[in-house]
Amino acid sequence: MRYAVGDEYSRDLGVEFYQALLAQAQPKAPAAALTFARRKLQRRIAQGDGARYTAWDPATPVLYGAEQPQLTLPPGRSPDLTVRNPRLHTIAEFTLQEHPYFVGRTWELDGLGADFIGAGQDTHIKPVAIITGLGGMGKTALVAEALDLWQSRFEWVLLYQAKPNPLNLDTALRDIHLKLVGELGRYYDHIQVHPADAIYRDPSEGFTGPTRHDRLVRNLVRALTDEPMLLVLDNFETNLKPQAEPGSGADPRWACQDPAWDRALQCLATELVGTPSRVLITCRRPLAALANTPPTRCCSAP
Amino acid sequence: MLLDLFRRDVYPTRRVVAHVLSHGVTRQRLEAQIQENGGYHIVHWSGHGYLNQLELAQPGGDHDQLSGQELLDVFVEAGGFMPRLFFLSTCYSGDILRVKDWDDFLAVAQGQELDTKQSRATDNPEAAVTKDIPLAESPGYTGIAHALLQGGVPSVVAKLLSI
Repeated sequence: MRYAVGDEYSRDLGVEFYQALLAQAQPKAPAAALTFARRKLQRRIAQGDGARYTAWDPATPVLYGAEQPQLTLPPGRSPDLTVRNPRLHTIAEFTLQEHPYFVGRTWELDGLGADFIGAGQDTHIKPVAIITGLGGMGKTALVAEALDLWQSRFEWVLLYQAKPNPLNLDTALRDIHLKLVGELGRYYDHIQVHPADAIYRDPSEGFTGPTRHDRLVRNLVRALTDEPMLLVLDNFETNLKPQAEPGSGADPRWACQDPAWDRALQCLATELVGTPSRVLITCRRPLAALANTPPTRCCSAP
Repeated sequence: MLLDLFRRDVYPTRRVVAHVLSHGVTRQRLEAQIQENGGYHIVHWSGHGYLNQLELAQPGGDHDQLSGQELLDVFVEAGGFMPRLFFLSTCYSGDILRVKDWDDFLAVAQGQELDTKQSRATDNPEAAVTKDIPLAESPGYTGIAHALLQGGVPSVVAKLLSI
């Protein structure tokens, strides 16, 4: 026989337990904190405020082992209160406030967590993920949720939206360069010593066309390898050709109007493996540029 | 909810940091997280659980299951210090003495299991419902809490039934 215990009770118990263990002026030992939490929830039930709990709930949590495991709580402010915001762009659509009714998508987030965010510099992780699906399926909302979950893992978060117009590669590289220079951090220090490694340099004689773009993308890869960054390219479909690539058959894929973007994405997908940085793309269409390095598909079009 | 509590009530006065690992958590992510931070004093585990099994993810989307001993091994292999306290908010994480019948269930519900040292919350508000586990004895199978205690974690809060 199985006795189901409510999630609500477990959540509330955890909150009350840590309140007693860590937040009170005189923190309680775990054993006393657990008793405090259980009694508080029992009082809630007795007062008629525990209708969402089941009858079995209070019977379940037990402390095993030492009543006082010698936890020491150093006084002072938590360093987490001074954590800075890594986002270098302010775009309302990428905030949770813009998506108050986000529900579900657990499997998509699980997929991103396991295969895209991964662990440290795991070489099995795909550093470029693409969220595909029809317009209105919640691709941008999923990115907002992913940012809230994982942006603290990155030193910098760079957000770009290719709407209503396509995102020009030159414009994007220039903006990344300027944003990172403006932070006066590791990237700024590096290009003071190695100016040729700048993510953006104006075209000049002998430094134009594909040669220039390829070098600038390699410089981007170098910077992304140097410190953990998350690059988001939202609504990327505006950059694509109107027709799928010929011969892609039952699994149609779209190439970029600017072939420099295709080369850039291919380069990022292969060169960022094993690095701490990630690229997250939302697009209504699968990308031909990423056909050989299958990205994580989070929302399949029905 | 827990993170809100930390930000609102804990962080202003305690020099503690809470890290959240969620969605698609694999063994590799767990180990890397421990390694990168040199260990954790308190671990709160919320998720699906079975008898001596905690559910994790595998790369590619499959499920993975971790026994109590394997969980302990992850911490050992990651290095750093062992947690002082585990809070296991999963089904059956504390299932060491199996509830076999109605009498056993009532005993558990009343905090009066056999072979346990317990003090009831109703008797003394500052006393917890606690259990002593005969670690030297093998009960025929182990549980998550049992394995953690055997491995040197001093205190484990665990659930006896299904959540």
